[in-house]
Amino acid sequence: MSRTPVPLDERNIDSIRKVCTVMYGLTMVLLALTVFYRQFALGQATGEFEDIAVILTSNVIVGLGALLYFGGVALPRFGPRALAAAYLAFVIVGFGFTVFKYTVLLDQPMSAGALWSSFLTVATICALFTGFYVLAAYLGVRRIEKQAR
Amino acid sequence: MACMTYISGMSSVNMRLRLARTEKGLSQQELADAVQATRQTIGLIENGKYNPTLNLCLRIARALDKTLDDLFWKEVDDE
Repeated sequence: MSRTPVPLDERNIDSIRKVCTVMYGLTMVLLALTVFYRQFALGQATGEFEDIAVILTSNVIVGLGALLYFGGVALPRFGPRALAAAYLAFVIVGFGFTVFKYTVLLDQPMSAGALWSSFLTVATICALFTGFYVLAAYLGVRRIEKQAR
Repeated sequence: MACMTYISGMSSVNMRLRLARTEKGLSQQELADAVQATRQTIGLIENGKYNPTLNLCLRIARALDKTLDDLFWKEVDDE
């Protein structure tokens, strides 16, 4: 049992971790819904909910990276084709959402130049994310293999 | 003979653990204290509602002077 005022054994700690995981996921989903509600239902400017968006984005980026690093998911072993497919999927979803956001939700038709510019932005950000996640997974696997030796 | 039948009928993990604990004359709370767990956890293990970690299994086996096989080995029929 842990040396805390409240006696905790492995089962208590396991239950606490499960609850925390669910609550963390729920908080992230609710934060995302808050951002969407403020932007599209209340029509607020981006600056009015930038703080929430930054918290949400950094948590998702760091959270996924930490899962890959500490979980030791052997992402690099999927091979370059699978990683390229994942990257392509990120770009398609990201670009699709950007176009949907401006043309449908905000009713601001995009010119060809704006489309190309947003495509480049999405492709670059997705490349950075994919690179970061592959690196986190690679380092995580290396760390665990080191411990296992 | 009746006793043997009773014991052989208690083949599942939870019943073997309960039997070993009572044979040793320990209450759930005393066993919990000995293995640094809570009484509720011991109760849940005995009722088959919680899968303990290997570390806790070892502590329980040592506290009851049994081997892991004696307490926690599962035959296919048990599963």
